Amino acid sequence: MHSTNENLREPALQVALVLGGLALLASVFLPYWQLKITAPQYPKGLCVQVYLNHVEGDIREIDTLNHYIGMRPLGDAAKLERSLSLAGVIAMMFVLLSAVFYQGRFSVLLLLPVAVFPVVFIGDLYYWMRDFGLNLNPHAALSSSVKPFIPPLFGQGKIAQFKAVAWFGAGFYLSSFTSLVSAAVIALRLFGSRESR
Amino acid sequence: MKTNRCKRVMAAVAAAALFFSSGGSVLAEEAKKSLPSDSMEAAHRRGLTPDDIYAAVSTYVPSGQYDEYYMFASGGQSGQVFVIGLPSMRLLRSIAVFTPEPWQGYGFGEKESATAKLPMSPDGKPITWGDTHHPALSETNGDYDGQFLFIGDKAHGRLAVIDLRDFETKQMVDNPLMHNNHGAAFVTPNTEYIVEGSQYAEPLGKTYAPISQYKEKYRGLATFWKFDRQKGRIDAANSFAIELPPYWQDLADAGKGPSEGWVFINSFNSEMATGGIEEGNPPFEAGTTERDTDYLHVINWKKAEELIRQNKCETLEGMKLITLKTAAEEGVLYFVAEPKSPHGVDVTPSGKYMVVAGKLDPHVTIYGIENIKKAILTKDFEGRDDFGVPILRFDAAKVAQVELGLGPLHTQFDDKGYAYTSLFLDSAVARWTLGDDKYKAPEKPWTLVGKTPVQFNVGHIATAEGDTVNPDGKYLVSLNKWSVDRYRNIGPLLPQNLQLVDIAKTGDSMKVLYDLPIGVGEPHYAQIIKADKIKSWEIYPEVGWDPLQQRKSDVVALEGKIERDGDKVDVYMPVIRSHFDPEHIEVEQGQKVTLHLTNLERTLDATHGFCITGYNLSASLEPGESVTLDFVADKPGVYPYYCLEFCSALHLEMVGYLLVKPKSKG
Repeated sequence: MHSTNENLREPALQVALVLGGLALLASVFLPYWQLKITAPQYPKGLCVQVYLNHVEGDIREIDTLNHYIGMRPLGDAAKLERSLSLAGVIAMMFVLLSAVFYQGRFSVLLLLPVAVFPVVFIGDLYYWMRDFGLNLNPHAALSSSVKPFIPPLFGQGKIAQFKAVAWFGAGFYLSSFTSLVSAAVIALRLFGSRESR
Repeated sequence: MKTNRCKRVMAAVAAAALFFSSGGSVLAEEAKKSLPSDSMEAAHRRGLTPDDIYAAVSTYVPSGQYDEYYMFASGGQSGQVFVIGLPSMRLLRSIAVFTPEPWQGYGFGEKESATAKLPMSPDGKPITWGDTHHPALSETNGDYDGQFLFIGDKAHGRLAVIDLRDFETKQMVDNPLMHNNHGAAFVTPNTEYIVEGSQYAEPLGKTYAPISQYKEKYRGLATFWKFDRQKGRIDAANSFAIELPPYWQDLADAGKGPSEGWVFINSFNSEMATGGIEEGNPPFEAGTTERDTDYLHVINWKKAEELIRQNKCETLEGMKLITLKTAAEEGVLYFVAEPKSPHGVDVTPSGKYMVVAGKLDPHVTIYGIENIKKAILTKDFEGRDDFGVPILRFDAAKVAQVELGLGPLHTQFDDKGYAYTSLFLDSAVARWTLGDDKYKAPEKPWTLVGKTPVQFNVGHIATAEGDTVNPDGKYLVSLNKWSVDRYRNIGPLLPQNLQLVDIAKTGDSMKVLYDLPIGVGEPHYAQIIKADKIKSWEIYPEVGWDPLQQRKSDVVALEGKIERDGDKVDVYMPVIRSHFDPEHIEVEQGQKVTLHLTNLERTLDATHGFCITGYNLSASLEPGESVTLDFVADKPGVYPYYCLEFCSALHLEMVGYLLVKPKSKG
């Protein structure tokens, strides 16, 4: 006997997968991570918006300032990841769509990369922040006053005279939604009580 | 007595405290009840009167907050324009116009500034100063539009255009017919023309004629410079001038509303005195003031424009010129008597009246445009002058006279129906009522309401947007020539004294609020514009901006490189905190070096300066700006070049070396 709930589950999952796909698509156009730094002479602050495939904001000024502490230009970070990101999103959308039409029990595991995607993003971001922050040019002008550091991934921090605040952007939350949908689909299709599929 | 004064202080403080209403903070709420006790203590300690406290809280602009108005004041002999915030009276910047100015890098290098094409003096040397008198903001429908500022150079008969997107001079034109001006600049209601009236008569075309031929050969001039708003440039080819009798024309104003199409210019030597004190003749100061009246010039510029279109003009030194004869015959020029050696003529906000300040007569005389038009139509003339110009009957053109005091010079207006006239000899500003104008004062028309002493010898006055169709009232600035005892002594050259006067309330209530010493020049006239009308740039729109052309430069130095072609060396030098690239420039003695500098910065206030030691070159590179500097490396040696603005922690390290190798012999 199937409950009415269980009869409705698959259509609900299908709708969720479609929404997840749309959310992932939309996330491409929104920042995943943002950082704002403020100092007395920058009352409006300087901002960085990290998108999946590019970086926006006061990059020129931040790079200008960073060269004093020996940090590489922001554009040098995660070049490979950024160049692959759109292909990755397309691949993930393909997986999401195929999961709508093909509801095989184990093929659902193809959704795993989608489910872990936001975590991978954070991990990669952290890797680059660490790499940039810890590998400062020892010959830089301010090398004796600004020691290697890791910028904050989330919340507040301090970099030289700047106060820094970092937070995740709408793109990240949209992809997190997609991730949760994928996780739910995996869990329900793998372990849901449906023998007579 | 003391308690009484204390009470008065408290009362004034309570009233004054209302000015603290900033954004509903707790402190501001507290201040609404009374001044904090430490403020009262400070006021007592410093011996401030209730009026002083009122003045202080009326003018103080806290750090980080902005002034409500910009005032543009001429700099007189400094050849500059000063930008001053109101009500704080803080000097915000000077704008280099006719004088090289190193902070702005103005006047150094061939392509850097409008002085690049400086008119040459007869000995072939560039003229390196000017005498700025009357700034004029561009207008749309008789109201300031905040786009451009024009200013005349009395000493050389020049006119300059300043673009208010970056507060920098873009153009100067040299009048080909005269060496001097005074009635400049004044704009027509839509800035179709910028009026430049001459002052001291000369033979037109900058030629020679003996003073004995003064009446025959010497002339005055009204030049109408066509302004191309799109290009932000004066269009000399479509400009024209009108020949005037040698009456020493003075200030001018353009009509608006019912008087649109007319320009009014005063004169003060209708005697045609030619001086010659050394020959026993009456000196100019006596000769020019002999008669009780001079002539207000009433010029129909729309008619003049028509004559130019019909080619009823001559061309002299490339300038289209309507002759005095044509002007008199064709109804371009009329005169009306005006008492006596007057200075300013100012059109009221409605455009119905022209106020002429008597200077040597204690009255202001008010003429009506309808009266003038009617007198012209009915040929209600007193006669014609020696040059055949019709003289309108004084009583037909005049509407009223108001006795104000001694030495009336200039008149401005407010939004309450008052006119304000400076009284030079009285050292005072008079407030009086206009009759049937745009605004209606509570007192009866054409009467003196009150006078406020100013310190001292007031010349021009400026009220907020006070010569437009919509004056703001609120503030008046008295531009005083003498400061005498107002400041600590700084030697025998004393600063000018600009005083802010509160004109917000009606009646005899004007109060001086603030004194601003100007120790860098002599402002004559000023105009005050609501700050939000000016939409200026924070940084230049693109990297590689050429401010003189207001577009991206053809040459942008994004990468450092040196190109050599024979004796010509082109250096492309990007500039960013905290380095120039290249840092070594090696040239041979005698080579012609062109530096193409581009400031790559996109950050507010990230300005770099540039100079080469020993080479008399200075540049200012605002964020995004490109500058070209030319010089001949004629002196062998080693010359550090460095950043002139303390741009960053490594500013001192922002340096390079110009190495000029001595020319090898043989």
